[in-house]
Amino acid sequence: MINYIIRRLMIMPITLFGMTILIFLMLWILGPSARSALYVSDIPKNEAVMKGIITKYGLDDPIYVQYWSWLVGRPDPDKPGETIGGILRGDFGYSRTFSRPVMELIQLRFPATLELTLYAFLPIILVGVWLGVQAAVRHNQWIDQIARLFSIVGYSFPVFVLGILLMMIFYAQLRWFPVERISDWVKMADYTKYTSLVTVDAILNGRLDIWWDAIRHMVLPIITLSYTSWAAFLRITRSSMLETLRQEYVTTARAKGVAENDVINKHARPNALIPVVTYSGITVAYLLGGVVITETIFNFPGMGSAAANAAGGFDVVTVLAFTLVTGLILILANLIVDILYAMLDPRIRLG
Amino acid sequence: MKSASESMTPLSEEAIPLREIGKLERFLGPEFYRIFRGVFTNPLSVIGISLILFFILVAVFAPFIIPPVKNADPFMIPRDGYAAAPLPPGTKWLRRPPELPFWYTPLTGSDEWVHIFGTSSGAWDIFYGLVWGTRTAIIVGVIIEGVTLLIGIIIGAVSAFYGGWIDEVLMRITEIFMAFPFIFAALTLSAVLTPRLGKGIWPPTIAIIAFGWMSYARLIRGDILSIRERDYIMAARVVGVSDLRILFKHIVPNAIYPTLVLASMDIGTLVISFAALSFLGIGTEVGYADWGQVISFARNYIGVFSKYWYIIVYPGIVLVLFVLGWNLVGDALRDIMDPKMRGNVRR
Amino acid sequence: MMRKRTLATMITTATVGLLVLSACGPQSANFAAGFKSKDPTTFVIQEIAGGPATLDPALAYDSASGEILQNVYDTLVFFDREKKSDLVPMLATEVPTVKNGGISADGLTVTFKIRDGVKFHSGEEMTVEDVAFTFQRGLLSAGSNSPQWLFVEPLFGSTIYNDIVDQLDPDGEKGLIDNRDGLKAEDSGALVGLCETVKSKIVADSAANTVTFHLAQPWGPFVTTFANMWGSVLPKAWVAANGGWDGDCATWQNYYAPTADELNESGIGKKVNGTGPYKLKEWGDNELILEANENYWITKPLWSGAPTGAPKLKTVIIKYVEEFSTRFAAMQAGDADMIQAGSAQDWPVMDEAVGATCDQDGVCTIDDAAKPLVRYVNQDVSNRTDAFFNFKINTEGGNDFIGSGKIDGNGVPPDFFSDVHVRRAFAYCFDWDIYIRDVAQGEGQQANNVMLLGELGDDAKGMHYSYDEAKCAEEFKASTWKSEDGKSLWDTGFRLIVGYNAGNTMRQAVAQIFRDNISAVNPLFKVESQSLEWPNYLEAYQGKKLPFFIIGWIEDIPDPHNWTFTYTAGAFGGKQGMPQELKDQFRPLVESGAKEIDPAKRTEIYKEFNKLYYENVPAVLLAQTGGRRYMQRWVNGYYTNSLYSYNYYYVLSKS
Repeated sequence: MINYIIRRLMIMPITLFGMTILIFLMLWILGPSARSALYVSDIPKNEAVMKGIITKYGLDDPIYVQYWSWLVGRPDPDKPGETIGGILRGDFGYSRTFSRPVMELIQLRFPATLELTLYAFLPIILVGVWLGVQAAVRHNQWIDQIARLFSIVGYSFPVFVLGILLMMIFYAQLRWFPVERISDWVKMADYTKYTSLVTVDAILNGRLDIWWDAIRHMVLPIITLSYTSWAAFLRITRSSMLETLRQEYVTTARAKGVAENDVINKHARPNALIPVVTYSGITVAYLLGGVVITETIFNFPGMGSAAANAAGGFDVVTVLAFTLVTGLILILANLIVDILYAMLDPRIRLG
Repeated sequence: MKSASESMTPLSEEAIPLREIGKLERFLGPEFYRIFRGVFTNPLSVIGISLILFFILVAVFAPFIIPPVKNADPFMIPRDGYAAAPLPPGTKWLRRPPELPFWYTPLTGSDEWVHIFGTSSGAWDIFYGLVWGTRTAIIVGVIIEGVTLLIGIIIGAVSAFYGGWIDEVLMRITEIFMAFPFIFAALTLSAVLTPRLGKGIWPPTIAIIAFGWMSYARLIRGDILSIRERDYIMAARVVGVSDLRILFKHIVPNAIYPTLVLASMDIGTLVISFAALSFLGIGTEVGYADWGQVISFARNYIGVFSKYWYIIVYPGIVLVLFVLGWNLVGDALRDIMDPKMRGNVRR
Repeated sequence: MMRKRTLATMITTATVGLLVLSACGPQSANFAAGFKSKDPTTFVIQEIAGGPATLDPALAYDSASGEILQNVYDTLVFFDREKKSDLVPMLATEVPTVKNGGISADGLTVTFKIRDGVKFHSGEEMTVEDVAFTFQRGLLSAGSNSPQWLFVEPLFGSTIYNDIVDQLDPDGEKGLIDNRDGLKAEDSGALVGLCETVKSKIVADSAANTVTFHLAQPWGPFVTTFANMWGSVLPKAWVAANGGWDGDCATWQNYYAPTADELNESGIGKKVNGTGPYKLKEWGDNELILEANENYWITKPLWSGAPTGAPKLKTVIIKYVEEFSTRFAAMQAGDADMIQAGSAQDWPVMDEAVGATCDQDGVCTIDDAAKPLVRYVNQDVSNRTDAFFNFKINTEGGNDFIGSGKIDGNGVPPDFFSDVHVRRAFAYCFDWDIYIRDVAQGEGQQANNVMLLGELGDDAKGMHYSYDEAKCAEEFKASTWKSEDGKSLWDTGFRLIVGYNAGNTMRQAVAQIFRDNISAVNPLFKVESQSLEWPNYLEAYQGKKLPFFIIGWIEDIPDPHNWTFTYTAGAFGGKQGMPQELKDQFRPLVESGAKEIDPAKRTEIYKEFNKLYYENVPAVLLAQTGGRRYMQRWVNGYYTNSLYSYNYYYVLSKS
């Protein structure tokens, strides 16, 4: 297992390197004038100024030179001795949509997306798996049928239609679940922001009212974001569990008189969970992509709504930075999944 | 006490009798025939196939169902004026209606076009958008799915067949493409391509292809790995058949079915990805006959659903049916190809 | 101002609009009956995503920035409630006129008497030096993206870009405009000299407590120019302490034409220290919070019925929300007091929640006692969207908008619109009625002339175009264009693409009205519409590649000159590549119209201008389309001045 994990960790830098190349290639397609947003904030007003900027920042250099500059920065032509640009230095350029450096925007928007994704993901894992196992053990066909219905309708109906309908019913009419991330009074409230994750900060400050407020705001986005994942998760857990229960070793265990609970909890479930673990990586990817539309609809100030905004204005430098960041999160999530997988799967665990 | 011989059924009765092999089966080959039969005997998949056929017919005969307005690009949805408030189904078409198709007067007894499904905000005709949008959906679906599959199969097959460092490199590349959430990646690539290619179906099409092939590559690679070491492949190698021939003549056709199942189910969701990109403003030109556009027109009016239900319900039904059709066929294919059910031709 | 920057602000141009209520009295008591806000001292408005470009009053030139500036800074003079042409003194103690001696008899000297005892948010008292410095700094920090041309023109006379650096580069040959590095390389003596000239034109007199401006030519609308956001007064010491220019003539060039990130890195672009009724509490990436200035200096109402002392709304939260449905939901849930529609296309949705309607005269009727919103309809506006011809289409590096670039049925030559018959044909093919009925929801009126309806020089009886298919065809047939094999334009046809910025459904509709009507006249004539993403649109527009473009203008100052100049020389004239001989015909009329003080004579000059514009049709003048505003019924004190940037929160309250 150790070998497997080491190998996995060794591959990671290669993947990261590849990701930067892919992102840079997209920047390359953009052409030098649009790439100027990496270094200057304004769209130059005439071609002469544009040409000056291209030469000044080497935007017509050979591709590998530019890639390197983009990665580690280049000497600032205006301030001798200083460096400008360089994603490794945290300089992703300037967001013309949001009138601030992209890195600042990421710092502002990342916590909201992280919190939303976590609150959408954890219930799927905890409750979804349990439900799936129950459905398999009890041979509950209807849970499978409902999940199947949900996944077909879910995949075939654009998520923004569902989101807006939910918003109109539960926010505009019933006023049960508000939109945005927190209420206006929380913004004015006096509490220490340790982590920028509102729910965590609320608990650290002992402010249950703030915690409750944040949770209420997340209900509709979570439903919109994750209902198709629920369906898929249920189906996968159920079928995997059913498959496992048919295996010979389970039958043997039963035959040996092992209590049914033990058969399920100790023998069948761990093995049934192997595909589930793999699928959870895909779920994280799906949720991270889903935030783009969900956050836009519910005005949830995370990276998704920022990316949608930036894409609407074709502020590609900003969108690319977000893509890279979500890619990084996904890589990390997949690493965790792989390690879990290694620990669960006896073929890898034992050698 | 019965004798042993009595309790045993004679072998001859257990044995599968020789089956008459029909022309169709001979033509299709046993594997494909089995799938063919399975698909056409399973009631759910028959519904699915009918749905798909229906959509294909609509796409092919779009000009006869609702002819384009004279001198206009047929893929642009015609507008009856520019009014903001949607018009309900059955409203008379006042401004430059399309010519009447052959079926209209006999069926309705009227010689005036009405907006059959109403109009969306901006007076775009919903019926036209859905009918001609079917064409877009089929064309785009076929292009995207075809190219994506091809890329996936080639990469997966080469990777699995050669193994070693080729496998390693190709799988790392696959991993890199998978490292980005799909929507983010597709959004970015279409945003990058739009200034180059102009607004239209191409930027989202290319973006969806570029970030869509990886699951096929991985799937087929896995399946080929399990086939690669089989006897008949070994035999072919020993005989000295060339690598490419072995790969594409013997291995891929035998490993391709699970990938095809996945692909068939994905065609439906492609349309949804398109709609999502349209929602984000990266789709086709406003007014282009594409279901995503038609749904996007409803965007600001979903809020008064009770009054303007038709601008979302009709496109919604069409989308659900399309996705459902492909899903039913895909589900049936999966059941048929499940190895545990192999050989049960007679069922 | 031409709304620039974001896609979002472009969408709003002329569709959301700013409204004028001529005689809106206090709303009747039963108007808001039964509708009570949960939090009567906090006002929440949800606007289209975007937000201010900068909070530096010298450089801000977009309405999202203007909305903040007009609430946190004060100006020397201000509009008299909703009347955009009448002024009241604000930081000055009187509005300068010839009668009160504020304007000299020759019109070349304007003196403002400055108010005593006004304090900035930081507590320091405002001085005449602060006032003079504000405007000196403005002139010297301009660049072509700023509103300072409004001051440069009267103080220095008309120059090529109406920018301060034109004084060093009169023909634009050195390319100093917007070019700080180029400016720094100029002779330091010349630079100091220019700065001294600026200081000599704007003089503070602390003994008399006045600031005097020395004009290059008489300028009727000069005093009005100070009423808008570019007239905001800043404290000198604070500017220097926050990364701005300190008034030293040796260094001004280092602060010239800053870029967006420089503006937002420096304190003056990000922070606020004004004398206004609100302070800036927080400027986030998706919302901006203002809090009341409890020590606000106004003790005597600016106009009868205007508030005094600290503002009633203690907190104003401006949220930038992308999705219209989300804004609308917030309105229905009672979480927002006012929202912006995306465009007139959204009005029917909002109307579903409307229970009361107020019209142009401020007369309100209650349509449905149970519904929570009130709408202000059919209002005057100070902006208009028009369709402009490009006389000299740029083909450098290829141009897809004009197809083959030849008369062959598949393109147009770069100087296609230099033929006046083609321009007239386009004008005759626009259908104003359907535009006003469908796109403007029936609230609008066809433009007579370049200036706004009812403005000085506007001539309702003058000639204007109307939809006429026969005349459209006739003009196309009269065109002198021929294909290479000698066939006429009518028999050959053409194809061109009208670009508009993506998401702007109004502009798309305009383009399609042209497309539909022109192809109905002759199927060989193909006018296609194509949406362009904002940066691409800007690039094509600034690169003069669009053959025919649809764009809006918002009036900066209530004077016809703001239109005549813009439409023949300024923002649009330049982009249209108008031939010199045409420009030469317009120019004397534009200039004499501005210099002339006597309204009757000005009217005559503009009459001639209008005739010339009608005959040459450099642009198809569309319609002045009405704006609407939607808000909760509990919002009190609402009126609109069409030159405000959205709201002046000081006059609003909630019940």
